[in-house]
Formats: sequence, C-alpha cells, structure tokens
Amino acid sequence: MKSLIITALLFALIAAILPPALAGDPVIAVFITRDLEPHREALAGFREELRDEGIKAVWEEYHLQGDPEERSESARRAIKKEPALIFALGTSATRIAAQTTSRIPIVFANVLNPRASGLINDYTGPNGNITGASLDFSPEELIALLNELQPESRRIGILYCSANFDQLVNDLGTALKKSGKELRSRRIDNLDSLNRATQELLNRIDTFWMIADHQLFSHQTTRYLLLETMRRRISFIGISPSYVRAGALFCLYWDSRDIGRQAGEATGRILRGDDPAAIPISRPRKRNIHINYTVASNLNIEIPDSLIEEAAGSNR
Amino acid sequence: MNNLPRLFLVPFLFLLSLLIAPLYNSALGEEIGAEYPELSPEELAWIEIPEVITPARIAQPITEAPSSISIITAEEIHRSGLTNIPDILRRLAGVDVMALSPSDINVGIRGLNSTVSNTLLVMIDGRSVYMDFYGTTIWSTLPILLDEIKRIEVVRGPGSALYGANAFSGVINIITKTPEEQKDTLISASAGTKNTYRGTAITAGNIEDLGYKLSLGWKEEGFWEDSNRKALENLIANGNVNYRIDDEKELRFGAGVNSGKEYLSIEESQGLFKLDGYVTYFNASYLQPNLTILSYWNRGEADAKSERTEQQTNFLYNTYHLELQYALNNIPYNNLILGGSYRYNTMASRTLDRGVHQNISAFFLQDSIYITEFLHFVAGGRYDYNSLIDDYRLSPRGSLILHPHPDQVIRLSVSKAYRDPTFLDTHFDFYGIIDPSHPEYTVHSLGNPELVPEKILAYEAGWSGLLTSFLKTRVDIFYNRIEDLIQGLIVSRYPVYPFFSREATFENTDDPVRAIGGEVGAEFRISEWLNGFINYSYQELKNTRTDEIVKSAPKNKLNAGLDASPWTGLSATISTHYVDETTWGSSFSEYQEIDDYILTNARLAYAINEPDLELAVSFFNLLNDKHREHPLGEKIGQRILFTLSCHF
Repeated sequence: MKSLIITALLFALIAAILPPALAGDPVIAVFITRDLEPHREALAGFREELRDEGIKAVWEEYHLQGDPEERSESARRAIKKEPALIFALGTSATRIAAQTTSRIPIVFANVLNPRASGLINDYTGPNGNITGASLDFSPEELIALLNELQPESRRIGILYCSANFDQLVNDLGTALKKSGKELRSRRIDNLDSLNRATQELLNRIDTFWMIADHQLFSHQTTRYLLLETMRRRISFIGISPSYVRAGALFCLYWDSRDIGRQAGEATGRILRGDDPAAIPISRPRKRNIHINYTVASNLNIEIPDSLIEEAAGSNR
Repeated sequence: MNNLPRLFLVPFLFLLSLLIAPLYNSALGEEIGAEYPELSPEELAWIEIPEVITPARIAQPITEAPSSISIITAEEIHRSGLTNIPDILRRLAGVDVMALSPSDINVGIRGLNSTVSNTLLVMIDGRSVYMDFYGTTIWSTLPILLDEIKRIEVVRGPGSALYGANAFSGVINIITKTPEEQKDTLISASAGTKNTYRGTAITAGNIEDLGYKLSLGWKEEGFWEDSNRKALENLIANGNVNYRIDDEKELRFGAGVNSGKEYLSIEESQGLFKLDGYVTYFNASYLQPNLTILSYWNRGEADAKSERTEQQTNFLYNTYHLELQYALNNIPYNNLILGGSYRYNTMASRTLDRGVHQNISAFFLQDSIYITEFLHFVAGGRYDYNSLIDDYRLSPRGSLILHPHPDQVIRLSVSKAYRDPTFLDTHFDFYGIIDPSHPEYTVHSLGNPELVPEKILAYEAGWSGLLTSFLKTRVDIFYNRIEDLIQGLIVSRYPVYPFFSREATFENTDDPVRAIGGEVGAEFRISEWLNGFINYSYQELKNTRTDEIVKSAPKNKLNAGLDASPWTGLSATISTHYVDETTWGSSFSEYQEIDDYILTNARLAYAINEPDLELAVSFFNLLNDKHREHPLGEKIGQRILFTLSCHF
C-alpha cells in the first residue's frame, strides 16, 4: 500500500512538472546562432506576445554553433522532434532552418534584408513555410525623414558589392524617383576599385545611403567612407546608432522587443491554423530616430523641432 | 637572456595561431572588404565603429590620429582577468610596466620609466590624475574601478602640443562608461592567494533626463613575499550624475574618493614608504556640439613614513583646473580646435621648504587640413605659462597623414614637448637618514629653483593597415632627443650638517639623451571564436656624450596573447610578456642588473545568462617564472584569483 501511494505521488509529481507537450501544448524550437542582446530582447518580446495571446507553448532552445555541418546537424536533430514551429533569430539561424525543413513553419525575427539574403522572394507573399518580422524600414519612410532633414538633397548615392542587393537598389531607385529624387548607384567587384568608385560617386551626389552589405562595410571602409563624405559635406545615412555615433547624419532604428512581438503575432496566426505563406513579412512598426547633431551642424542642417522631440538617442 | 627557452613560448603561440588560421579561414570567404564575413546584415548594424578622442582632443577615427595610439576595450579588460591598470597595459607595444609591490607599479612609454615615474600624463575622462607636486601617478590610489572603464587610450610619444606639461613620453586617457553605457547593477567578489580580496558594486540608470552611476569598491592584497602583511588596502567610491538639458546640451558632475594605505619604494636608503591617506576629486563639465567646458578639483592628503628609518612626513595638495575647448569644423577641408585652460596648484608638506602654489595658464590650437583625399596635415601647438619657473613654453607639433589605400595609413610626425620642474624638484627640503643605527649620517636633499623644463624633440614614422580581412598590422619607429633631464645628484660629500653628512639637489643634466626604437605588432582573427595579438618593441636610450645609461629601459620586449570563446558561456584568455634584462640605478644607489623574465597571465571563465552570472579563475604568472622587475621590488611569483560576478 505504501509503495502504491509513493508511486502515485511520483506520478502526480511527474505529471505536474513534465513538459506540457504531453498535455498537447505546441513545441516551439528556437534557433539562435549568436547570443546577442537584440536576440534576447526579441525572444523576450516573442514570449510576451504569445503569453498575451493566451498561447501556451513548450520552448526548446537550440544554439546552433560550430562549423556549418555541425550547425545543420543540430538543426536536423531539432526537426526530428517534430516541433510545431521554428522561431529563428537572425539571418543565419533562419537560413539553417530553411535549409533543413520545407514543411515545418518558420517564423523569423531580427532579419535585415531577408530578400537580399535569399530567404524570401517577396515581402507580401513569402516562400512556402517562412514568414516573420524583418528589420527593414520601407524606403518611403526613410525618404520622408531625409526630406524633413535635408529637403534640398536630390541625388542619392549607393555603393555596394553583392549582387544580392540589386533588387533592393532597384526598389530604392523607384521610390526615390517617385519622390522627385535620383538614385546613383555603383556596384564594385573588388576593394582596389573602391577608391575610384567612391570618388566618382561622391562627385555626383548630395547624400550617401548605406545598405547593410557586409562584403563592403568593414571598420576600415566605413571610416573611409564616413571621412570622405564628411570632407565633401555629403550627408551619410547609417543603418544603426553606432554608425551615427561614428559620423553618419541619421538612422532609423527598430525596437527589438517589438520585433519579437511582431513575430509572436505571426506565430499566433500560424498556431491558429493560418498558412505562413499568407502572412506578409512585417516591417518595424516602432521606430527611433538617431541624429548626430555635430554632423548636422557641420552640414548646416537645421533640425525641425518635431524631429528633435522624436529623436530619442542622439549623438553630439 | 636566461629565459631564452621559455621565450620561444611567445613565437610558438603566434606560429600556432598562424597554423590554425587556414583551417578556420576556409569558411571566411574571399569577398572584398570581408572583415566580418560571417556577419549577417543585421549584425553589421550591431557592431561598434570605434572612435578615438585622445590624440586630437576630439572624437575622430583612429586612422586620422596624428599619433601612434592603441586602445584597450572594456571587453579586453574584463577578459584579461587582471586587477590593475598597469598590468593591463603590459600587452601594448612600447609601454614599459615595472611592478615593485602590489601597490607600487610604474608605467613609462618608450623607455622613460623609473620608480615614482613622472613623465606620463594620465587622465580619467580628461581629468588629470597624476599628482602635480611630482608629476607621478600612483596607480593604486586612482579612484576608479576596472568595471567602470569603457576603454583606455594610450598615445605613444609627446602630447604636450595639446595637453601641456607631463604629456612628455605619452598620454593615457581612461574613459569611463556613462550611466547609459554602464546600466543596471553589477556585483562582483574576488578572493585569491596572497590574501587578495576584492569587492565591486556598481549601479547605474536613468530617471528621465538624469543619468546616475554609483560605484563602491574594496581591494586588499598582501605583499608578494610576505602575504601576511597588507601591501594595499583601498576603499573606492564614485558618484556620477549626467543631466541632459536638451538634445544638444549636457551637464556632467562627478565626485569620488580613494582612501587607504599603500607602500612605495623611492630610494634604497629609505626602504618602503607607507602612505596612509586619501585622494578625492570633484568635477563638473558642460558639453554641447563643438564646445566643451571642463572643471575639476583634485585633492590628496597622506601621512608617509619610512619603514627603514622611521622618518615621517606628510603632504596635502590641491589642484583646481578650468578648461574650455571649441571645435570649429564648418570650414571646408579643415577641422580646427582651439581652447585654453587655467590650473592652480597648492601644496603643503614637511618635506618642502615652505607652502607653495603655482599658476599655469595655457592656450592651444590645432588644425587638420585635408589637402587631398589621400593626404591630410595636422599642425598645432600649445603655449603654457608656469608661475613656478616664471617662464613660458611653446610646444608645437606637425603630422603628415597619408592614406595610400583605404585600409592603410602612413604617418610622419615631429613634435616638441616639455616637462616642467615640480614642487619637489624646486622646493624639496628633507634630511634623509642613511643608516638607522647612525642617525647622524644624513643626506640633506634640497630643491633647486633654478631648474629649467626637461625637453624632448620627437620624430616618428608609422604605418598601419589591414593586410587581409583577418590580420591588422602596425609598425612605428621613433627618434627622440631629450635634453635637460632633471636628476638627483650628490653635490657635496664633506661635513655639512650635523656631521659627516652629504648634500644633494636636483640638476638638469648637461648631456642630451638619444632614444631610438620602434614597435611592430599584429592583431589577428583566427576564427569567429579565436582572436590574438603579438607585438615586439625595441628601444635604446643613451647619453650622446658618454654613452652611459641615463634612464633604464629594457631593450627588447615581446607580447602575445590569445582570446577564445569556443562554446557559449566559456571564455579563455592567455597573454605572455617577455621583458629583456634591464639595468636600474641612480646617483644615490649602485647600478644593478635585473634579469630578463617572462610573465604569463591567463583567465578561464564560464558565464550563464539567466541569472547573469560569471565565475572566473585568473592566473597571474602562470608559469611561475619568479622574477624581480626592479632591484627595490619584491620577487613576483604565481598568484591565483577567483571571481564571481553577477549582473542584474
């Protein structure tokens, strides 16, 4: 009798602490390749959103590290457990997830330029099992901000290396044309041509627009481009506050926690039965404007009061 | 070079790294400019683009700097596992570090090092922290905790053109984290061998436009040769408040204290000096685009007692400083900065002939002229008037900076700098007992009000560049001509007072000193999780007339290190430093040779995220190469320190 009671108590205990998966809660596999603060923020936002929507889930985190084969192997082990959904943080984790399964829904967060990375074909109708929250502000939003800061800027320049950005550059050209501006882009194949390409481009533009091409932008080349634009009194649009601190005029920056919440909303829809392909890729809905006031002063730019109020983390 | 076999450890580490490198670089890709080939586009947005403030007093990219400069980041400080700033500086080429005891470590640059070293300008956030009465920095008395530091910028060579007196052999600027950068709360505790205990508590945050940071620290450590005796006991407290007036203007206030006991070795006859006192400060600054107003008050007070002769003295000093700087950068192809400062020093001490004070007023100006996209020129100078010597100096500097390629910089510079005589040099008045059993034998040391400033004329050439996406290199060579060095001299050996005594004073040497040397170094990234560095320095200082050693300096130094994070949470670092044999001495003591040595430090740490905890074990002198770094110093053996830190 005593052993029966102990066995029953043990079962009760196990039932209480066992993963609710046994009780039917969906399993969400979280893929991370780098333990970065923005990813932790996004994951916290993602969990908050699911909790607010009343979705109970079992979390299994996979830190995909090592060489590419080791990462793929970790991902394959995760897929074998048949999670209901994969939540991927960042481009690398999303790419590994996409290469490992075309069946299990994948929701990404903290991905910049998912189309240039080949993760999706279109923002409105993504690939079969992938959707998520991108970090891309629409070109129209950035152009509107540029118009407020520097309405006289007409000729916008872009320098890039990777052909993956061709589509992004084309879209930007179209958006600029609609707003009465002109895009002058230059794609280079090697660093030897950077100097000449930069000089030629900077002679013909008022504003330099940075795109997140890691093949072009290193510490050294970023400094070089910042200095060249500073010397010629050309404004530089950065991709994050660190570039603004280093000398870019401004950037639009996202709220990582809210990006996580946006991904959580997409997850909620999928877990309720929606097809991932029918869920458009979201863009950041919360924005922070970062302005370098010293650079603005050098360029004789008077910042409108409305922007001063909105610019939260600015540099001087 | 008794340590020759172990010396191979340094190149071995480097060669090992190079051998491993190709294994990992197969994944690095061959893309152009691919410094971050494994970064995703969004990760490119999260990297920090470094700025440099020190060389030109304004934030500028390191490639624009008119001086040879190195930066040590907060991450490198944390992962070194070291517990004081001088030990952290050992990794840099051209920097001389000499430890005598836990509380007595001296730093010089390019050979100008000694006990109570006084040729270096050390600042915390632009506030000088050397003691004006002798120009020396007692590192253990600095009111700062290592976890507060954002980065350390080290400028090799004179910086008087902008910073004035004491920026003679170099400038070290310690930049602390703002409340926003520090954020949250850190608590850490350490315990280790040699009765070492340390505790740190820092909290920072923002209340609307007001940022605050409070820090409290305790450190104590026993002597290395007799750890039952405390060599160091310090309580450190700091408070900072930043108030954002609007988006363009900010006020910053700070105050702090370092109170405790430490020991210094100054001269052999006096043995160890025990200092018991405090150093405190208050600073207030106003910042707006292009304009900085900085003011501060430094104060220090201590009782000092010689352990050997039991002679006692004391000192109390105050430094009041006001400085204004304006950057005028709306002139096309020019960046002009100009400013002025006023400094008032007072000192009272039983070792001085009277209470003394001093006014120093200065005006400085520097312009960076961008001639072409490949070439810019930096020219500037500083005018100082010093009431102590009732004289003025002009310290000019010119640098030509070429960018033959976006990844490469060539720098040629020439500068002239001065180090003024200090209160102790000019007003010292002290009877030092030579032998405690015969107190009638004394050295009566007197200051010399006729001293003139020490002068240095420095020529420098440097190249730095990114050779491949994973290898950064730099080479610097220098030639310095130093004149009028101030040194202590026995001027009479006949009875003066009371019996059979000697008289000593300070005098400018007649013979110029020539210093030549250079540094070569590389930083490399072997894989995403493994980084390293290696550098070599050569220096030689000679009296141009007699070929005698004037200031002691090791000829050859080699540093190398690796930093690995192979798995999430686990990190390991190792650094090793070879320092050549050195001869130390002065006119008061025999010249003595110190053998070459190898110092290897390592740290192993494991961190978890929730809660944010880290447990680390640090090894100092891992290979237990017991050595002295100065004849008056203690023998340095192995030490181990365990640290647990929590961030919330």
